Formats: sequence, structure tokens, C-alpha cells
Amino acid sequence: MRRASSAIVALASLAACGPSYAPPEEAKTIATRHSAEIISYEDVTIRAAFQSGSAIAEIERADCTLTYRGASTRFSAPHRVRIPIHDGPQADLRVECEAEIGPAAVKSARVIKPSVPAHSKGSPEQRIYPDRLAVTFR
Amino acid sequence: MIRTILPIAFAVTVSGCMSYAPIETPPQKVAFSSQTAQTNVDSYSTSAIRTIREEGRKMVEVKGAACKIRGTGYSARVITPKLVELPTYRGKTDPVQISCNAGGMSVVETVEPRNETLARIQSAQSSGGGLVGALAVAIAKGVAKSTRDPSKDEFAYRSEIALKLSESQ
Repeated sequence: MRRASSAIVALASLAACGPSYAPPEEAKTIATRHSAEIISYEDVTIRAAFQSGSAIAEIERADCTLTYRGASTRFSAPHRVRIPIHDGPQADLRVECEAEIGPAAVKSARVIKPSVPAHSKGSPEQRIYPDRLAVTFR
Repeated sequence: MIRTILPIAFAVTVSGCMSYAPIETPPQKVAFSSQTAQTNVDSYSTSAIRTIREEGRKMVEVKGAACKIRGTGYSARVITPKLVELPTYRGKTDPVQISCNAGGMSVVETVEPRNETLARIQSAQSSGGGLVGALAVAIAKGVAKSTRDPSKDEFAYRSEIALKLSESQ
């Protein structure tokens, strides 16, 4: 609960202050080897941020790897990715980013749980993953 | 609590009554072991590295102690007293570890950098106008602290770093 609320606070603060960098127009579609039918796609914008105390600001570039249903995709944040939503049980999204902050490269990772455990064509329309997420370095 | 107060009291006492020998030689540079640490340097903070010891009730400066300075991605070896240019980085500057030895005495200390950006925010706004004024200043400071871009924060180490030698165990 505390983690979730701090992530929300981080996202809200990120939107409120500091420079905001534009991700490329085109979203990168995530490939998976999952055999279940793809019923929709969700775009997620991934940004990287640096937090010190109560201050937080987006950083211009971080090298990230997104892992979803056993497949990994690399990109530089900020970036928009297109997540295929398969029929049936939903899976976690894991994003790990690395950026040079100060004298060394630092890593940070986030795991995003799906909002529902399973989803199918007949289910009411709802997002499975948030449309924006920030990986925060401290 | 007393553990926190004692070193502060010691530092205040030492800085208040000690006079140090002048350092005539130019500042020493550090040797980088990481490319990232070298290329990302924002500025150099010049600090005098000194060693002191207790002699009766007085503190005296010890010259000629051999010290190793270890930071993230760099290191240096100096003989005290010596000016050293310590690298600082925007956003995040790590503490530096200094260990010294001299005549059977030694010391190891971790020196924290000071966030100069936060310090400027703290000192820029002075209080006035009683309780309401103090509250307004506190709110303004809080806003300034939380709305700054922390990746641009500037850091510096203190200009005099005096390490107290004690008998090696």
C-alpha cells in the first residue's frame, strides 16, 4: 500500500514539476511467445526519474529493459511501449532501467501487477496496466 | 543522542580554537578508476586534509600522516596536511572515505558532502513577521525544496577536513 501510494505521489510530482521529455511518437510493440489470442493492445509511457528527499524530476535518458511473458525488449526512456493483452490470465510487467547519476551508473526496477488476474473478450473494458509509469532512481 | 552530540561538540571545539599550519603546496588531483566518474564531474571541491591528535587537554596538528582517500570511481594518497581537489557531481555526490596512519596512530572517517543547493534554499529565505511569517517561510522552503530539480543539485565537501588520530588497536 505504501509502495503504491509513493509511486502515485512520484508520478503526480513528476507531472507537476521539472522538465518533461517527449517520448518518440511511435510506440514499440512488445513481442511475446505467449500462445493465447491477443485481444487488445495497451500503450504505456515509461519515464525515468530521479528523487532526492521530496524533490523529483524526470531524467533525460535511461536505458531500460522491459520483461513481459518471458520476452525482453530494450529501449531508452522516455519511451512508449505497446503491450499485447492476451486472452486469459494476465502477467506482471517488469521494467529495469539504468542511468548515469553522479559518479556511477545506477539501476532501478519496477514490477507492475495487472489490475485484474484474468481478462477475456467478454470482460468489461478496462486497462490492465497504467498508461504511464516512472522508474525512480534515488 | 549523546553519540551524535559528542562528535559535533568535538568538531566545534576543534574548529573554534585550533589554528592550522598553512599549506604551501598546490592542491593534489585524484586518480580516476572509472570513466563515468571522470566524465561526469561537475566541479572540484578543494579541501584541506589534516590530521590532529589529543595532547593533554589540547589538540595539536600532526604533520606527515599517510592518508588514503577513496571515493566512488576515484582515489588519492596524500601526506598531511594537503589540499585535495575532490570531485563533485550534479544530483548525487557520494561520501568519501579517508583513512590515515602516523606513528602507531590511525583514523578512518567517512566525510559526507554538503548539498549546496539545499543550503542556498535554506539561507535565501529569512524569517520575519512572527508566527505567521515563520509559517509562511517554512511553507515556501518546503515548496522550494520539493519543486527543485534534484538532478541539478550541487554538492561540496567542507574546506577543512581534520581527522583525529588515536592509538591503533
